[in-house]
Amino acid sequence: MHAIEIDRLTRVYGSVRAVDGVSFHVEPGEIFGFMGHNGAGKTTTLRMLLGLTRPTSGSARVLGHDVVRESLEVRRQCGFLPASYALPAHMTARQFLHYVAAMFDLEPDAAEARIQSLLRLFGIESAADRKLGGFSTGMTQKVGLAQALINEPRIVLLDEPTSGLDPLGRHELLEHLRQLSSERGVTVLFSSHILSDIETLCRRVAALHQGRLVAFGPIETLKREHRSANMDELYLSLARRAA
Amino acid sequence: MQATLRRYRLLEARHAVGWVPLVSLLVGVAIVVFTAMLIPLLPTAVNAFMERAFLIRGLGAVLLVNEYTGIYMLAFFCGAAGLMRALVEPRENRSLEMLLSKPISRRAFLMARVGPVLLASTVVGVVMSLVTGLVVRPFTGEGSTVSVAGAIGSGLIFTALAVLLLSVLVVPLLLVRDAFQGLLIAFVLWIAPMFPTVVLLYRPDLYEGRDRLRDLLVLGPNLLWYDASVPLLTVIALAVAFVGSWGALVLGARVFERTELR
Amino acid sequence: MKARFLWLDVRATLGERKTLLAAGLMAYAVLIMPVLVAKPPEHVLSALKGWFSTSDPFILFLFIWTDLAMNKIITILGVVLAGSLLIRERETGQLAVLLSKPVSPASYFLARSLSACAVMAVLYIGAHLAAAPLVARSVPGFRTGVFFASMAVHLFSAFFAVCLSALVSVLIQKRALAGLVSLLVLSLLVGLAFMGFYNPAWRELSFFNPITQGISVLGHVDDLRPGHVLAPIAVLLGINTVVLALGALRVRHLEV
Repeated sequence: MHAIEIDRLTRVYGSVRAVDGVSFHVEPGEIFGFMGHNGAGKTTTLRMLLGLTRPTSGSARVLGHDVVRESLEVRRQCGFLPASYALPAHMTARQFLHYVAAMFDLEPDAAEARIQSLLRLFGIESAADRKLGGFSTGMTQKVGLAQALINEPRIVLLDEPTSGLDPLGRHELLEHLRQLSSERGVTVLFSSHILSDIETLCRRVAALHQGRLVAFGPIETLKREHRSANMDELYLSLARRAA
Repeated sequence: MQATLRRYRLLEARHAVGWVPLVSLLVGVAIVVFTAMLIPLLPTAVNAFMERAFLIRGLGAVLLVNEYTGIYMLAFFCGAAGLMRALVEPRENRSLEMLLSKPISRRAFLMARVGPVLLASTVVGVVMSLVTGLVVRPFTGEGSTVSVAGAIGSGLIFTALAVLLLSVLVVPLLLVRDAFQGLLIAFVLWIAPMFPTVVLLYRPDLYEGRDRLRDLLVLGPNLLWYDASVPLLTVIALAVAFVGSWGALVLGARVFERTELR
Repeated sequence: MKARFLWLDVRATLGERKTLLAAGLMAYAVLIMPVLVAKPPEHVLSALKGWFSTSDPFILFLFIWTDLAMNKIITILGVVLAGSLLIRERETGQLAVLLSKPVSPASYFLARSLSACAVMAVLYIGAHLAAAPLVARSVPGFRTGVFFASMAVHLFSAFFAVCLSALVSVLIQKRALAGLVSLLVLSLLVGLAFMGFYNPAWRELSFFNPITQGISVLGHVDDLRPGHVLAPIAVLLGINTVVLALGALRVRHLEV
């Protein structure tokens, strides 16, 4: 069974086809790159995978669950970090993580233990009881990631997770994701327009251009097929061909 | 699993109980007491005018007409502010998407956020009603047209109306992106039931030959006209408000489930 | 540059949905007015004569228009237009972008407050211009000069509602609470606005209520002189300046 299976997924807003007949699949435990320019349809696809947006047509399954009919079960087993978000400024990091844990019905003791380990993992223990309103971008992103991992998810959907991070923060994040995948078998759907991050982290990718899937497969195979030396060349080649 | 989420609901309730209900409660009680002190100090002609205009008799009745407006206002706007914080602000500051990506249905999310707000408004209205019952006591007794039970009951009826309107307000608040656009809608919703009373004040002729309609619509004075029946009316109003609020919230949940996150 | 910023801000606010809703509210007040004043009961007319020392039927319209319609509308509009000043920008991350430009927090606060006042003025004056011809036909003895003189003074009360909401917003910095506090304070001032007319012994105390200043023309319908218009406007200008200065002082060292 594929971890994520998308079949001719389409979402139309008025006259705009935000996602247009996209099909691909993600294997369990892999870090899968999902690339495309801003507005290519990546975020809409991720939202549809979580049942936050209804597909106009097509279907998708996450861990075998239909994303429309069984969205709660999908969300129970997934972690999600949106591209653009705000954390409640009046809460501390610990309070916020407890709040999110309560949405998964985690017992307070189990939640506290989990929160403690996540705070340690991301190196933000000392800031745990500070109000989120005063957090830097990098710290906010770490809390964002911690909330995505609070339920020990089997799949993590990350939408532009490295944007706004400094080189060190970016490096640490990519390391965390590698560990999650290799040590815990977590499937990561890594959506980004930063192609170097995708090349560093992923073996296989899907590329969207103006809502359409323009490539899907192992990066090395795609590079060979398109005679591209690096990811930038590959993406430009794909985009030009699609245009 | 959705049946539990007890801890989540408790956390939502704890966040809902902030400064807004507390300030509303303190200001509300202060307004009830201040009104009770102010009305007897007004010139006789002013109170006589209000008696004539609202077809009521006695200082106690004049006092209550004013107190009811205060109860209605505080209970409603305390809740409206809470609803905007609970429903519109997460949409505005982009935290809604992250919250809704958790395994919690939109219905459960809505109820967990709206329930404590409605409860806080109810508490504000109930406490103000009880204080109104206390301040009106010196004006009750033989020959008086008002009673403590009538005053408290009427306060509860206005509270029930405020909570019902807040439940109705949930639907537009789920669709707006600007909290202050929501406030404007809230204001319109709040002021609409007061219009029949304004008509009684300036155009009483419009009610001529329509006594039943007048008795039904002129909120505030009508409860004083039927002071003895207020306990029964309170029970009916609470039941109607409960059912109506539930219906409005179910509708709100449906709307929320169909609302796109964009 | 500041004037252009102000103009662009006003234009943007005028295009917002909440402004359209507010205009709808004003339009409703204009349309309902001829109905409300068409057949006043005798006890209302005699009460008004006692309070404003005139039996001119025009006073009934002016009283209802000012107290029932405009006072209530400026209360809510003040909060709607300025009740989340700087809070919303801070929550959505806009403030960092805006303050990265060569503009101090205080001048940004003043510009946004003045812009909100300008939007209030557009809506308020627009409502009066629409009401005048409509009501002139249905209210006997309608006096255009007095109507617009009253408008001119009360407009500065409307500005006060905006300025106070802006001040409360930056003082409290919590949106829902700030909106509620502004609404309660303004409602209380509106509720007490006519106390000086009801009881002449309280007239001096009412002097400090900006909404009372705004309605002061109602006491001079039959003997209106320039001083009756200019004096309350001067007082209100002073109050509004102080309120805005307090707000600017509060945000002077604002950190994003």
